Amino acid sequence: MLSQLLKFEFYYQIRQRVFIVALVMFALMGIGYGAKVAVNPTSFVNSAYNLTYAVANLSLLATFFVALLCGNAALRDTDAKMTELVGAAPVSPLKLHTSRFLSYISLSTTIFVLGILCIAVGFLFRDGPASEMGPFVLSYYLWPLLTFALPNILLVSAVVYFTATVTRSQSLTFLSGVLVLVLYLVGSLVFDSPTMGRSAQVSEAKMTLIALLDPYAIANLFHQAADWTGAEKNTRLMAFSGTFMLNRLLWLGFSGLLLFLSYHFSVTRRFASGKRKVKKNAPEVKEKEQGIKQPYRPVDSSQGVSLWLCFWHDFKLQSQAIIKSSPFLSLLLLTAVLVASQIINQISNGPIGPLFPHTGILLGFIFRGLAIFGPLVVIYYAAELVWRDRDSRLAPLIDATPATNLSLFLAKSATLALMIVLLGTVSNLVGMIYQLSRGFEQFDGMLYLYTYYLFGLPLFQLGMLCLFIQNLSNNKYLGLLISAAVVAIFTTDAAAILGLEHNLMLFAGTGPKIHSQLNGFGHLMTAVNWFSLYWSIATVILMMLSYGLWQRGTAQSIGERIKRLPMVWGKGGQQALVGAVILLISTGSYIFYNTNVVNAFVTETDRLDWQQDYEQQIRPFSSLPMPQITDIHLAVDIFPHQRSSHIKGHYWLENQTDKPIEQLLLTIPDARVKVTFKIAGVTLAKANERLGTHLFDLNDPMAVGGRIKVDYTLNHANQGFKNTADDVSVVDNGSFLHNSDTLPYLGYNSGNEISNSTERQKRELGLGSQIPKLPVYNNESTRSVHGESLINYEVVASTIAGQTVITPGKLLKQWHEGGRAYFHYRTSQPIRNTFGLVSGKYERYQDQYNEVEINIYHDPRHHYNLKRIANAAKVSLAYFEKNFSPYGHQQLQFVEIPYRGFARAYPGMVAFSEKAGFIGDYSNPDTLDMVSQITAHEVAHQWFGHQLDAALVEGQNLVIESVAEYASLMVMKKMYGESFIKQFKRTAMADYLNGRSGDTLGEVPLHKLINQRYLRYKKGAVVFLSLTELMGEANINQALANLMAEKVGDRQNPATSLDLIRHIKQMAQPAHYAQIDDWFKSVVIFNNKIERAVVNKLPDGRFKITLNVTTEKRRYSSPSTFEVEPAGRPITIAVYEALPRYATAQEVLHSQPYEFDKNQSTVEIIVDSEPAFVVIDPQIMTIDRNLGDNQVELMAAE
Amino acid sequence: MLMIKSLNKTYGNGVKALCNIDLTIQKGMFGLLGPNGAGKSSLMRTLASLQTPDSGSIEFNGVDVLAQPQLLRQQLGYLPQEFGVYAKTSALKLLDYLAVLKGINNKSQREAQVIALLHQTNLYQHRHNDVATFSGGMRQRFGIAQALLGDPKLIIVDEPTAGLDPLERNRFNNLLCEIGENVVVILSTHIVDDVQSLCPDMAILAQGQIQQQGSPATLVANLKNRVWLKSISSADLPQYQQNFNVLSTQLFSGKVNIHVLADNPPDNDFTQVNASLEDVYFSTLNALSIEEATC
Ligand SMILES: Nc1ncnc2c1ncn2[C@@H]1O[C@H](COP(=O)(O)OP(=O)(O)O)[C@@H](O)[C@H]1O
Ligand SMILES: [Mg+2]
Repeated sequence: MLSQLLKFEFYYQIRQRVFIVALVMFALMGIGYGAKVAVNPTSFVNSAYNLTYAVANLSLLATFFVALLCGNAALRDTDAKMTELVGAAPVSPLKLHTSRFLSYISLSTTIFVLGILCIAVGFLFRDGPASEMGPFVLSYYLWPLLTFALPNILLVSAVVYFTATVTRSQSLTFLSGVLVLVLYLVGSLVFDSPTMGRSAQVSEAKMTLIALLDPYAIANLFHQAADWTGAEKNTRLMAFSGTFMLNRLLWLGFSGLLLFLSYHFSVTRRFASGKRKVKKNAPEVKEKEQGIKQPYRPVDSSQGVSLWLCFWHDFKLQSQAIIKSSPFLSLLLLTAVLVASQIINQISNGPIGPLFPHTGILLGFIFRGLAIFGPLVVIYYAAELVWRDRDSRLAPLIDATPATNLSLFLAKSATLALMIVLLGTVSNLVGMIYQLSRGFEQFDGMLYLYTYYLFGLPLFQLGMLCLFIQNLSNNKYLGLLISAAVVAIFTTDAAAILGLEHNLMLFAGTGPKIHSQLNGFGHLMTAVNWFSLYWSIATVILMMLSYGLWQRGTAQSIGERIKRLPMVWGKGGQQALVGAVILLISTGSYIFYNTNVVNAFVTETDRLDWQQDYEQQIRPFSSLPMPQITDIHLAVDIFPHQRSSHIKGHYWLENQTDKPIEQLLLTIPDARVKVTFKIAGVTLAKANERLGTHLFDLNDPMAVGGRIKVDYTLNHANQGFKNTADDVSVVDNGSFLHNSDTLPYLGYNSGNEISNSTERQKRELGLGSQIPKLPVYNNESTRSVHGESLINYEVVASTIAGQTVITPGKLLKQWHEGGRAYFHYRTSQPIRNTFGLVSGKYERYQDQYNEVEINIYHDPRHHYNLKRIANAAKVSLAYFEKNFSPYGHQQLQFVEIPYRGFARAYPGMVAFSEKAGFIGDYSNPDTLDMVSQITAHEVAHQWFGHQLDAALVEGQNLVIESVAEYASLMVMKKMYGESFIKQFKRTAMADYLNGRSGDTLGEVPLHKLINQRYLRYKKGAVVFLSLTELMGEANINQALANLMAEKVGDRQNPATSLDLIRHIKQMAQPAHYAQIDDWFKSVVIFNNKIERAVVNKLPDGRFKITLNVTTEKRRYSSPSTFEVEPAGRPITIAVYEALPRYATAQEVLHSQPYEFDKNQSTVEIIVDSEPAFVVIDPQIMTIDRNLGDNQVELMAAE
Repeated sequence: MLMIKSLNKTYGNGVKALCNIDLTIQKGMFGLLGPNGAGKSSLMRTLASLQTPDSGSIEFNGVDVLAQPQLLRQQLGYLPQEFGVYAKTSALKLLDYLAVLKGINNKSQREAQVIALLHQTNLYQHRHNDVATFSGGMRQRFGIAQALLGDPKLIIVDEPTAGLDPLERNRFNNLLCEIGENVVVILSTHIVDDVQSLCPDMAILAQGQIQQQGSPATLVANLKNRVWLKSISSADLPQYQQNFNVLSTQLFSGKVNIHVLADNPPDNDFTQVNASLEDVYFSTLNALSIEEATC
């Protein structure tokens, strides 16, 4: 009986279209996920972790179809008006419910399993080396399916089933399912769960709570796998124990309870009268109304149908039906939640902390939120709109009316447009409400309109494409499938994989739409406008075809419909079509002229080819000795609105090698720039315009110490627009020329080589240029990597009136001439050859430190952090001058630049991206003042980087970046005290552990680091901060001062990381040498943990704490192998009366270092008053894989 | 006046649904009688411009229907054999919507006609109810209401009374009768009685071909004195069916009354009866099954 019912239900459901749609959608999602999955090379695509992550997250998305399907199943008998029929059948209600629920669960699971299989299918489409795949292991799929997906599906189903039985309302039922997801999202945001992206290390107690309450259990993945290395992630499955097990049991129990309640409810109600609420009947017919009963009379309608009226009525009917429907309403709600979570999360968790909610910033988050639902909406609703008449079988009535195809079609298009506008508006409103709630006054309404233009218009165009596809398709689900595939191709990276890079071929493609605070959408909008026009015209043509081919009546083949096209269009329509096609071709031609004739159209392959050519043709010259640049004189004219620059300049070169130099290799970084060289006594041996290289033979070789002058002009012009991201060096506001991106350079540039090893293999390029190894012995010659010469720099720059030019050096003179503004800068002493030149419309904030003039050039709206920057600069200057050496410049200029995300130090000048601090919001005293820290870091580079040079070998960035980070943190300590340091250290530790588990090359010790950000900044900061605890700030500063005294000015032997360590050891006690080596020369990670803590009150009123602690020291010999050794040095255990973070000195009851010679030890501590917390390693002197378990709250036992 | 000339339609699956149809239909009710699968709906849909024939022509009051379907649609009232409605839409709203699509642009005229039609079809008190919840009869009446919107000159109703109870059917036929005076009404049906009681002119369609055309009276006259009745036991029925041209059988108090077509009484127990339209219909169909369709 039960199995029969089950079968019946199952087959019934399978034929439901929701089922088919859900199946297709989910399968596509699975394929898409699989095809796009990115892994770090130490772990496989098929790794256990990766698959667990995928399954867990897909179970989140599954909420939608589970809610839809279950709603369908639970409400089915009422829907089909079968309540009486089925209700009367001799089936026990238990069986009925069980069969229904089981069938429905198995359906959901079927869909889900198919989606998971499709991930594996998607892997086949992955564009990555096969070596990344890893072995297929079934259990890696099954275990997460069992532990994550099934309970999650069950939970959503139970909620939905319960709501359905209690309310019997279709919309409430669907909404209740979605609500589970919404609650999850909101809860994660409120609790700052790691599932919501980057967040600082959360305390163990809070993490446990999050992991326990997360209905989808996804937080548990982050909880358990926080410190798994890449290799571990390959094979480790989630352990079904601890919090994870509790979580699953909790939610399973909850689901069971809901199911029981629904059963109970339906049984008690079955015999009661309460049926589904009958829609209130029509108002009783009034006698009077019936009295004026008119007989039927024909109404002349021969004046013909009105296009407008038909359109308007059809539009009203269609849009009301959709917009008032619960799926669309919940979609709107969900979009709002998604956009809100994007905004709240991203704006407070950016790399430099929270931001002020400028509309331009919010717009980015709004687009990202919309990008998820937008395409789904047009795919699904295009199908609904086209098929509604035929699905409801109203079509024969409508098709036999004289209403024109045009009006019927336009009504559907307008409905789709309205939906898109609503999506955009809801998202904009979320943005505005967020701004209001933050009390943000710069409410840029105009910018919000771009949502409609940049998101809405392309989406509408895609929607019209879907309408077209549905119109031609004989079957709705086939149409859905095709539209989904087409939209996926045009809106994801799939297009690039298929080789579609030109926006003329990418339907609704417009190229990049990047907003900058300083420059707005800028010149990038030109391309966007043209492409939008082009695709709008194409859309109009599509729309004409759609209404021309509109399915009218039955059984009309495409051929028949095409035959009727001219008739449907009429003369006017045909003319309009011809006009549109001509317009499309001319617009397309104009675009093509701009993107492919005026500008070069460069595909990804072209770029790689260029790199390959450069390497193959120029690398042979890499060993040629080159002279050094000693003087740079420039006359720079910047034309912001034309986006062009003219540079006329000269170098003085000097042969600082010990051999005569016979050839000069000069290369311009951007080969599109027109260059001329004028050098006395040379012959051009070889020039390659495409590579921008010029090889000159010197008629008379340059003697050792000899000098030569190189005159050149550079003509950088941007004309028309390009297909992809355009050059942003010269823009309307905030032009930024960086010397090595602009001026000719000498010798071979290994940075132009292809770095991706797979691509190198494919092109048989062999090994690329390597950064030289760190010399094993410190006295080994490093001559081959000696530093660059210092230069004298002088520039006369002009720009349009109203803009200011800022560049290193002293501003000697400033004047106007011919409507342009001129600036003359010259350095007063030689500087390192790195400089930038900026032109923009700025406000200047001025300050002074002794003789040093501090200027901050900023956007007038970005005034928030000027004082902070100036103050941090002053404290930095004072601290560094006191501890290291004099500053050496008369000015320190900070300049805000658009687009980029970095801050960069030039001699006496810092280019500060608009995203790197000017709009950071540090008004909350609990947030780290990152703008001051970045300022201090960049100022520190005036010493470490500009005064002290490091050899270009492994570990270079330890000497430059880690030390600058250390110096900046000492400044921060001066400004904010220890608390800043502590908080920073915790975050840096978490970032380090995170970064290390995602390192593609495998972790190396600090002294051999190459470019890894997580090492040079994060581990660097952690190690140096621990070092201050160990040997004191003064000693480190002395060591650094000594290093500078030895190395500054020694161009033959620039500093290496070994020099740094040597100087540090010189200032440290010999007892600490081993520890210092552990930090700098090894990868050592501790696993400190308080396993158990028992408190006993002693008869004398004191308290005895008995602790079981783990102190495990892991020394990694490779990224995934380590040996455990004894701690080797004492580790502190401290007992507090209050929360350790806020504890005052009096509230520290006990703090003492302990020697541990085993990994597991027992410690007994006796304190005078009642203890509240015990912490191992409170100063965080060891790098600990999990800080969360170092602290335990104590409870006194009786 | 509607003129149909040598209309042919073969479906994609090879079914020849219409075969050289020639018909001329004047003002008034015209009955198109035929069994299921005869091609009635195919013809109706073609007339309603919902599908195109392979060949042939249709002309209505001088308008070439195939070339200018739009002109026909302006004068058309069509009730298909099967139709559905949007969920959650009231009768009033749906009628108003269809009235706009029919081209009644004036709002007050539209409202007045919709209300009048709701009264006429006895749906007025249900006008705010969801049409999807209507019973079969109510829905058919809704169908006729929408077919009468505007000023239709050609009304096509395809098996409107199938599935209605006798009372509903009666009411429906009366309604048709009222409007059928000044315009062309084509009623397709497989129920002989409907044609008999409503249509002054008719045709019998079977196997995609027009088998007979004329007024019911003339058609019946052709069978004058050729229909014979006998009461037999049901066990003998197969034998009679084999030997005679049995037009119809009817159970009557345990026995079977059979009508047989013959020029002379087949045997002595047969009595002559007055031919009915039903006899015409069945004799036509019987002739077919003997001859085999050729088209
Ligand atoms: N769209 C179609 N495609 C293929 N065959 C069809 C189609 N419509 C009807 N037919 C076939 O054409 C024949 C005539 O059908 P129809 O016009 O519906 O007859 P009637 O209305 O007299 O019952 C039948 O055999 C039917 O199966
Ligand atoms: Mg039919």
